[in-house]
Amino acid sequence: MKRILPMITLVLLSYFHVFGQSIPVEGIVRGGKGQPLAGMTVTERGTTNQASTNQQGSFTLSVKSLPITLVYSGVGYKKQEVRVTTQQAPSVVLSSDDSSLGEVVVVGYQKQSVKKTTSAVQVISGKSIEDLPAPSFESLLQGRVAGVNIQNFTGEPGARNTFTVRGNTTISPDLNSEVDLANTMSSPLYIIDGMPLSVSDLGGSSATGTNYIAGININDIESIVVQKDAAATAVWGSRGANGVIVIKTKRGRVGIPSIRASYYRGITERPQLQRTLGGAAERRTKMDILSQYASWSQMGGFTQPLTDSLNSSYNNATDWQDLFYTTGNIDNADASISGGSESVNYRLSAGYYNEDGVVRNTGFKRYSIRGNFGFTLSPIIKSDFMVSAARINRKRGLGRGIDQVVPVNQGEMPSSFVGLGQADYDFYLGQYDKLKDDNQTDNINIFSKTYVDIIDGLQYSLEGSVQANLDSRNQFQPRELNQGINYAASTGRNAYTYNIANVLNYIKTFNDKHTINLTALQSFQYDKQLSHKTEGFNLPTDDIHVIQGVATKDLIASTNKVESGLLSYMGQFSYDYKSRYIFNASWRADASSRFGVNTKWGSFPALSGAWVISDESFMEKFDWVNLFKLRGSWGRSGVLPEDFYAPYNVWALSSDTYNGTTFAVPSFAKPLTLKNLTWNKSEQTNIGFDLGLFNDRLTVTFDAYRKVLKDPIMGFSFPYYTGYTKLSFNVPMSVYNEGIDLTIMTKNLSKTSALQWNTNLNMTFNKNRIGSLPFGDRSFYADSRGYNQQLLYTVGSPIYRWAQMLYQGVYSHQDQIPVNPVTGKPLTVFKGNYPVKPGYPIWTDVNQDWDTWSDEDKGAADGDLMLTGNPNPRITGGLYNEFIYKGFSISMLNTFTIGRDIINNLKSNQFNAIGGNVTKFTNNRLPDLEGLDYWTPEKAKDPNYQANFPSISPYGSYFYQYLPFSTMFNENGTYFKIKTISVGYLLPKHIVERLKIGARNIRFYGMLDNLHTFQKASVPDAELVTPQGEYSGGAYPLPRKYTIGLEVNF
Amino acid sequence: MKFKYILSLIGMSSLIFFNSSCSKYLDLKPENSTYDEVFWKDGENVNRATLGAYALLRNSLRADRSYFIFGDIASGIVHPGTDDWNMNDFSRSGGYKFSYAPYLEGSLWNWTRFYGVINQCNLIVEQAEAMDIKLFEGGEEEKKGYISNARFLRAYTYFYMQRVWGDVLLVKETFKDPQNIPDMTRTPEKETLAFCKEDLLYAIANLQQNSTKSFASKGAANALMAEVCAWEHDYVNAEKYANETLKLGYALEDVKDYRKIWQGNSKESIFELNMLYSESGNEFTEDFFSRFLSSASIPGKGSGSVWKIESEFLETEFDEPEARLDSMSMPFPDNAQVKTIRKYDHVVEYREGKYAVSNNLVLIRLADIILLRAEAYYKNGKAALALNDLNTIRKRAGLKEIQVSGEELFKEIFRERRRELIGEGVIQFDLIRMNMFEQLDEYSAYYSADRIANKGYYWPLDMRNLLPQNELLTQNPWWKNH
Repeated sequence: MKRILPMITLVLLSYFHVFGQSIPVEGIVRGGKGQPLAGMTVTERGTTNQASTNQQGSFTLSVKSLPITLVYSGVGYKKQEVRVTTQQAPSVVLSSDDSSLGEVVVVGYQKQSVKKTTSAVQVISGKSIEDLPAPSFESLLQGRVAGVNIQNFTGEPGARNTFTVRGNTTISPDLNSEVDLANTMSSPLYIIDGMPLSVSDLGGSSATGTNYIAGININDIESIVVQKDAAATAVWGSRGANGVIVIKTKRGRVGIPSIRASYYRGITERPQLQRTLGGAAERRTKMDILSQYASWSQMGGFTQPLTDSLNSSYNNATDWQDLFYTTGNIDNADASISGGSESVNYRLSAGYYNEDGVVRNTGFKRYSIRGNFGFTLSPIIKSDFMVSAARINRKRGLGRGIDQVVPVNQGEMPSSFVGLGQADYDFYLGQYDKLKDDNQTDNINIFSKTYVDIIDGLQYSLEGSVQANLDSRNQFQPRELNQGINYAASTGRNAYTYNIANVLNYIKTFNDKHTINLTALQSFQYDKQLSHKTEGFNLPTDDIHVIQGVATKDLIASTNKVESGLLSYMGQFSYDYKSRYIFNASWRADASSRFGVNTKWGSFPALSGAWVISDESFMEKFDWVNLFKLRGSWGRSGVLPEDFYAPYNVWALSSDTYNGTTFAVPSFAKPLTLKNLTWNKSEQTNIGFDLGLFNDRLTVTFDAYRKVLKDPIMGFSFPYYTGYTKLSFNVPMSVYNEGIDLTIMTKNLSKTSALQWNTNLNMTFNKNRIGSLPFGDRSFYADSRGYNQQLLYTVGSPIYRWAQMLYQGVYSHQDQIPVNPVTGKPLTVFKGNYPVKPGYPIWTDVNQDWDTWSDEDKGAADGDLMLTGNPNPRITGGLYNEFIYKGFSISMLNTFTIGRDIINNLKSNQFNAIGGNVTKFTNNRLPDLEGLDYWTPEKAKDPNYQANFPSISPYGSYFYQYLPFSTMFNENGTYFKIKTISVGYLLPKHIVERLKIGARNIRFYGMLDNLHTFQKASVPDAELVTPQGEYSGGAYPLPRKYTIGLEVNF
Repeated sequence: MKFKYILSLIGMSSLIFFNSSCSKYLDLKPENSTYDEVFWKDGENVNRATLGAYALLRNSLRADRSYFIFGDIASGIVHPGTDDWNMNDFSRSGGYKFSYAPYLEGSLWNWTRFYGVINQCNLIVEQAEAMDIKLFEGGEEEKKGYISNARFLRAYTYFYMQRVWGDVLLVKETFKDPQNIPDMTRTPEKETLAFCKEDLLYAIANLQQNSTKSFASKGAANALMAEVCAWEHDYVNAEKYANETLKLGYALEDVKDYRKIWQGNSKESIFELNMLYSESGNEFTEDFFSRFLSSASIPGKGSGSVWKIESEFLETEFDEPEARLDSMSMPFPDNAQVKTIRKYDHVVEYREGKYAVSNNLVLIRLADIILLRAEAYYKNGKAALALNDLNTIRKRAGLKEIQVSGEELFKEIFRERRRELIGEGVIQFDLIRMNMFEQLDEYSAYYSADRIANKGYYWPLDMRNLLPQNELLTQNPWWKNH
């Protein structure tokens, strides 16, 4: 902090310098109908000297000399250049431009118009996600951006979901110890108003588990730029390999203050629950099943809850799910005021968002404020200043992790016969109501950037920022919920990120043909995280909810501090000839404290080019082609290790002792590591084109890419005889992600039509595969979450692919069972323990040893495991349609995922829970048997009978047959979702005026979110599975949301 | 022009300021832990590492209660409770089928945890050796003390692994190049034991005889040396080192105080691992020794989890009344016919309803070494001395002296070992060493000549997990196809 403070002071000081002299140039900008245009940008060509127009369309720009050329631009209007010789610039009429080519994107530290961009970037306007009911903007990008795969594996408000740009490259070292499953997939780097935010850095040891991105009020967002290829990400060097998301918040515009206020309210619907039979229906079904399997003697052994229907203890119809799920409210209110004069512009906003969870005692609440300011200190000095703060309160319910949002194991939910007494309700509901869990995050961000025009075209800027993410969590558990021991804990973490950058930018156009843009950057980032945790057991009474009066032996406390530094140099060069032939090159060097002493530096080059074919003269005859641009890029980028001290072999010193003295052992929690750790090499090649036809009524963006990750730092299995089981190093392996991003946008009706209908289809085909593995491409197994099926990593196969036995139906009749011709004995299962009988599942005997099982004791066999399901989707995308008629608008967003395998672990666990004996069969809930033709001896009397599910007899042999180590519960994870429908109505002007409240416009809107999913799978929602494709039943459901709202602009 | 000058000054100064301060922020070292580069700096840290080696060994032996499974369950004298259904196959009732150990593969078939101990010892030996004597407050003696402790533990660990799984992968020093770990073949027993003996000779020469039994001592090193020699059937040296051990002032506890042996620093204990309860330090466990204990010792404990003395064994081997049995066992609640072992029954209720067993795990004790010397005397043709040692133990147990000779004497020594050392994790190794499988009916039915020839008394290895790390690893011959 001591070092950083002077830097910030320096930035602030630079505001107070006033320099030089200038000539004011004034002018006015109008639209096609003669109306004044506000918010247009007027730039002195070849410089960054700019001004904006006010509400009357007029502007004043200070220049050093005349004549000059002014460039008039604005979102939605065609750019125009005008030569100005006097202080009064000629009046300019800008014609509207429906193409997005005029939009400006920031690539690294250079602003480029979309037309001149050579890389694969996509711009999402803040407008398109405004007022949508979600805590955080990332999930709203689902289905709107090609190349991005967003899957909501949890519906818990404020939790982070997966957001992968162009395929996953992360291999989780141990899925079972992962607290946040979002960490098992790669996530991008976020740049929020120039401030980098790494969710993986922050997520690692967060005290609150809250998604830091959710601190941004969605309605403050001006635009989101998704940068996908290396030409865009290489300038972020050692952090950009997983894509870069650049978020810009709204700024003030010159003109009279404008005020916007909006409010919406809605409900989150209690989710669709698992189908279940209760009470009499459950008893009837169970008796029916038993009678199909039981012998006469077994009939006598039916358990009391089944037979004794008059006993009040057993004649209930308790729906256990009912206890925990509920309907909640959503509220959002936000207001902003913006305006400005020549010398200062501002936008201030405040927001409140509250979403109740659909599981008891969960929810998300955010209060946010933001101020964005722009100062023109002198004709050559400008400054931007931004400050934002947000407080997030997130209720975590049980807070026991993603599979345990309710206190009853979903797979083994008790039978409905069992009645609940008051004590039971107290216990179950008390877990929610009596626990205290105050879980709060504060984000505070301050950013300042000062620009100085040194000479014509040359600009220096100094950028400084501070980000603070302050977490605190205070918990309390009373005695009754924790086996007689009450418990209080206080956890906190303060994470600070400081950034400072010197940027020199030079832009020049020669002979009106050649434009060059040179940027040099030096930047430094320093991260510091301080955390503490104190726990106390056996508080004197349950009335005390904090750690007070606790005996020393019941106190546990620890603190932690980690720091990290990143020094970077970057150069960016772009050249274009008449905006037709465009060439870009960049080079970045990063040194991070997280790498080895001599391996800190990494260099990240990128090259890209574009050719705007449609500007060529030979294309003139194809006047229906208004844009055809070819693009190509190549570059390198990396990922920083999450561990700030990655190259250090750490010794674990705990309070544990031997013979009374604390001891030291190498930290086995952190794998053995090497001193020469360095950045991983991620290389990406991209080719693509942009096509605009029929006056942009049809536009197509196409990109094909290959992203290769090499030498990732990961904890890799290590020969045990070294004493360590994992070595963390730059593993000499590669992971390929190859695919295609495609966006097709159409305006389906003519421009003059009163009804407008626009369609946007975007999709991504991605293929993930392991290209090589260390130790001579040796394959290896890993455990899935919950140890259900095995994962097998092998060359050519994707990350997280499963290895299971292949289930191929049921042996319905004795004669279908194979017999070993050598021994004359039938096939067996489970290492020879069970000779196969009718009603058993057919599992493929891959190793042909006349026994089917997942492993063998004899030697090193893999048993009958084979590569099966792939939880990585083949195609993801979205389809967006909007209709606008006068003041009405209606839009629908569909999202889809195609070609994904998932496992219904819940069903598997439910069958497992009733298998093996009558007591379990009676006491646990039945799975959904709809459509299942399970084998019974009675049905098998028909020689033509073929069962579609094995015997579910509790009297039969039980050899874990329902667990997902075979493909019995694999399902097709493809889905097509009606994600969002929004309706809006803009009150006609004359009505608004008649209201006489000073409003400029008033809009009503309504949203339906997560409306319906079309899917083949039997799980409640095919999207609601872990990133590794499992549905355990315990995940937080994705609720349906309905909201209505009102927006007023003054 | 002037302001450009100022500007460039700001720019330049910030650049300079930047670079000078940044390099400091690029060499950030952990402040939340110690690490290799700074760890080996004084005797105190070497001491912590040595304690760490003991702690690792303690964890390794406790893992899944494998210490008692290997020594007692597998030798058929202790019967698992019904909760431990997965132990049925390899206990007496299942015919010692070691190849079926559901959910226990990670401890019973996998020796990975012991390599953590080996690595720790190798590190101490190498690093302490390289450290200047001045870094140790106690000078040369202190330094050699740590090295001796490490070498003793290394010998104990390899010898233990050899007895459980057969031939080990003998790693004599730490691997210097982690990116280049060679595959290894299993080392012949002779070579491993030679390495152990070399370590033990060093330990014998450099260790003192100390009163704290939870650390290596001259006596412990001699005793372990005697065991290694006996394992190799080098009974001349076994006798020699057993005699060396007995010179060092150990004494048998009176049978009245029999259970004192496991309560820490008993005069009979030669080497033990500390697991006594204290408010801090987490050295005790709730669920390691407690398998032997019933609700008579731990209120409310379910009967399904309790291990008992195998009933047939109880009946045939404890046919005479003896004070020792009364001292070390107690009847099972509700069924006096069944007896549980109460060697480790010092229980502390440390929190309401939570019971810590506060006993030490005695790895070597005097009675064991006296019986070992008896065995050696017998093999060295000194039957009278052998009988004398045997009767010393019988006398303490409250049994009358016996007169046997020849094969019967040898067999009787083994039977006495079983009675004396039941529930102490060693009998299976006695069976192997003394080759008793064919001698006694309870084993011969399951241990065919073929099984013995193919060393089917060792445990199989978890090839599915171990082989991928080392393609030269081979399965124990008997378990390749059984």
